[in-house]
Amino acid sequence: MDETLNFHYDSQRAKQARIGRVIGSKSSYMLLSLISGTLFVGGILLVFGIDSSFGWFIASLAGPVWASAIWGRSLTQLPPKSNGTNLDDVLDAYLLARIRPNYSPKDLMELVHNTEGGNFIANRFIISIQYLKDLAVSDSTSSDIVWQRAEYYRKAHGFETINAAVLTAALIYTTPNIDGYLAHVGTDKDNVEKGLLWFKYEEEVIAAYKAHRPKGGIGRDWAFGYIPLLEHLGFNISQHITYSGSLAREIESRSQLISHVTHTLAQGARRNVVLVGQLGSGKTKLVYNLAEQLLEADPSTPKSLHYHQVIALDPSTLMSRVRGRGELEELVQRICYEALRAKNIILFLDDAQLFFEEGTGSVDLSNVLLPILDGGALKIILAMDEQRWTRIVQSNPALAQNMNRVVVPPTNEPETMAVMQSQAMKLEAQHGVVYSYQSLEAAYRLSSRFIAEQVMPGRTLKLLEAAANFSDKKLVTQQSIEKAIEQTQGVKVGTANSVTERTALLNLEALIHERMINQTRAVQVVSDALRRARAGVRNTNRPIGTFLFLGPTGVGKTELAKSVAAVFFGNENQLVRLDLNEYVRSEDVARLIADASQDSHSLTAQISRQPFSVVLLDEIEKAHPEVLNTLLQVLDEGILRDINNREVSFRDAVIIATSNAGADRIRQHIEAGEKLEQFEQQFTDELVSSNTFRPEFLNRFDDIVLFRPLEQPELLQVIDLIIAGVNKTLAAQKLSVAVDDDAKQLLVQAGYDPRLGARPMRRIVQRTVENIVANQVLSQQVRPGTEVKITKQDIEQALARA
Amino acid sequence: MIVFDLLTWWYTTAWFEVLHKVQLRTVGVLETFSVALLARTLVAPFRQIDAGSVRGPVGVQLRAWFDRTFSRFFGAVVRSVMICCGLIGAFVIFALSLAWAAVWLAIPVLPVFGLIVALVR
Repeated sequence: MDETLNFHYDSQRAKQARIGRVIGSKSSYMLLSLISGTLFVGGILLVFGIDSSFGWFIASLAGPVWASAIWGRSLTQLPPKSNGTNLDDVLDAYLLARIRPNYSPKDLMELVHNTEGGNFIANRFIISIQYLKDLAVSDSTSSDIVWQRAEYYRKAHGFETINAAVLTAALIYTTPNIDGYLAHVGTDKDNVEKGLLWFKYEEEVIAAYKAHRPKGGIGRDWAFGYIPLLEHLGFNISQHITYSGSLAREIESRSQLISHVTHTLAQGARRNVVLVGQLGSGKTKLVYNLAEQLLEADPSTPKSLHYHQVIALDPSTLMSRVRGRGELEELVQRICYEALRAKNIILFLDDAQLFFEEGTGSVDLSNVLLPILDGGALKIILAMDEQRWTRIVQSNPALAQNMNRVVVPPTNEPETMAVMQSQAMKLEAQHGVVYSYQSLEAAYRLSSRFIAEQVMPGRTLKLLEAAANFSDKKLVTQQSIEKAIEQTQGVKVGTANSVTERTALLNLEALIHERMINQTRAVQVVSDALRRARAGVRNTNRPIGTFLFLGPTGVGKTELAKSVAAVFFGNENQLVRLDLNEYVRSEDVARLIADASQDSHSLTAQISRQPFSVVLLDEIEKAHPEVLNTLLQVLDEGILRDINNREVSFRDAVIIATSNAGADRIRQHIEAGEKLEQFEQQFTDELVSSNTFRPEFLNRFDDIVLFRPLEQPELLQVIDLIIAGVNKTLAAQKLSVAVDDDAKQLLVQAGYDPRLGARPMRRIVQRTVENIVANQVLSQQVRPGTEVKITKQDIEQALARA
Repeated sequence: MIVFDLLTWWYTTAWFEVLHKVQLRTVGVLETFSVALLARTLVAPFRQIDAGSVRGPVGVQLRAWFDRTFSRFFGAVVRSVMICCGLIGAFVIFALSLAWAAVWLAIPVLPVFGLIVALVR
């Protein structure tokens, strides 16, 4: 790493590179070829036109001129010197032809500007080379450190030469004060280094595309049978790959799986495999890669499988071609027989459960397929997820005995990044966009958090594809990924950027108080948590906030939860509400974590659908201890496993538990003239000592918030809010209602009950104000555009009637 | 110096590459005609027609044996024809490529021959 690389400007390789720059360019090559052709044709014309023997000499001059043209082209692709230790031995011909001994990092930056490799790094990392040039050092002695870094990258990542991409990465690494700029564009030096592997992969794909790839030739299938039925009813994956390629990137763990599958298919009594893995783990892709290896007669695959074709079947196509079950079974038998007879067919049943279960789009063909699988002669690959495999095996134990099970695990982060980089090429061509490295990282991070129905790499590819629709000037950035996930999953993932949102967050308390009265401390702690979340400073491995609201009924606990849903999550419906008085038995835990297909209202099902929500756990003190134990994990880690052991994330939810426990004690303290802050701790201790809540449960909450009972002046404000609500309803009929102040006082007096807080207020407004308006509307005393005035007397009469 | 470098490259690296291409082209033709594959499966039933074993009376089995033998014979004929075509094609390509490799050697020094011809005639 510290080894200094010597640069010999006059070395033979350096000179040749410079010659290549002059005579090896495309225009020079064309010119020399044209001269060569002219000399040849001119000479021949001289010989045969005017019978001049001098023409032979002229024509023969075409030889060395053409040789110069070819040599020139070859010099632009000069290979590195084997075992070379000097810079001029290992430098890419393009750079070698242009470099000077006294070049400074700034000059080198100028050199890589607009090269293929330089552009790759600049575009993939959204880096401005021009800006880097401004930061780069002008002192040529500083170039040594750049070359040392470049040589380190070359050796570490297996590049033949120090090319423009490697040099750009080295320049970025060694540029002073670069970290801040890289952080600004959302990356760092390590990522730029990893980007070199992406560049290398793309170079390899292009080289492989140009290389000769034998596919068996004219007589490849002559020893194998005709397959008219399969050609008609199946999808020939091998044929598809022949034309389009699979863009597979070699991943060690996947190569091992493919090797295992091929050896199972080639040997053994049971030449079949069931690929078991979660949705998105890459089972189908694995089969495509296998098909490609067989088609290319890859030396790593058994010879007996060379040129075998993989044909996929799906039950809906088969069902559409027959009239009844009997015909379908007969057709499947014929297909299997045809595949067996052809001797070079591997059948692939993707979503194989569709062949073993009755249902819409699926049909149980066990009685046909099991004897065939039992025979073991037909090469067949099934693919399905773990749960379905377990379910089918339970009803069909013979299937498990007849199949070789191969588990396809989700890919890890480096593997997923490699898969994304390989598939990005295809997506870029399809959507006409360019994916930045940051977008790939964001796709991995965000899909891990928010896409629960699939595993890696499927979920990240799904997000990457969706993000193509949110590109900015055809560039897919981290922000594109965030927009895509926000749109598709209904979550907010970025930090607050818009002025409107920032203003709203800074004024959360005021916005919430538009909907509820007083309880300033409760409103403040909740608002603080929400601001932390949107400023990106919260712990992302926990829920946004977890709060226990304690206080008498009718003081605004539920209303605050609804307000948070409306103000922060944009809609009051973003509230998942569970009345825990319905979870009083230990068996109720199962209901809490039920699968969405069994109970779409279970907590896990609702949060899977709507992860960005307020979870309101009402009357938590009534829940069974087992239920509370289950909820501990949610409060602690923001994770709950459903009945199928699938993780459901609560890390984007605000969890609010409410309880009336100790409401009388709160009232006593308040009536004794104490402030909430004065008896908060004592009150919590009382809840623990009275065994209402266990201390480990209370400790899981970010804040325990006490709500104080509402007094009459506050209830007057509640009345105002309720009347505002009535007016909102009446606005559709162009009517409004105005209640006199003394009438409002009367309403509060009539409805006041210190135990019930604001709850009776709505009832009393209904029985009085709403009834008065309803009568006037029906008797046509009011017309659209008028205001209904309600006096104290009106209220008295209404109360008397009620 | 430039001329020396050009000639050195022309008669070493470039010529070996030309020779390597002779091999690649010849192998390419053999692969296109599936020569090795066809030779390995020379007497296999053609497209597996009448290839399966048949149960039944001796007469039926005898007939199946004749059918299978005919399929193998037909396959062998077709494959032999294709192998011959492949070998001839490969030979032609090999000869032409080799001739080109020989011409390659003369290209840079063509003016010497051109001058001699011009002076002699």
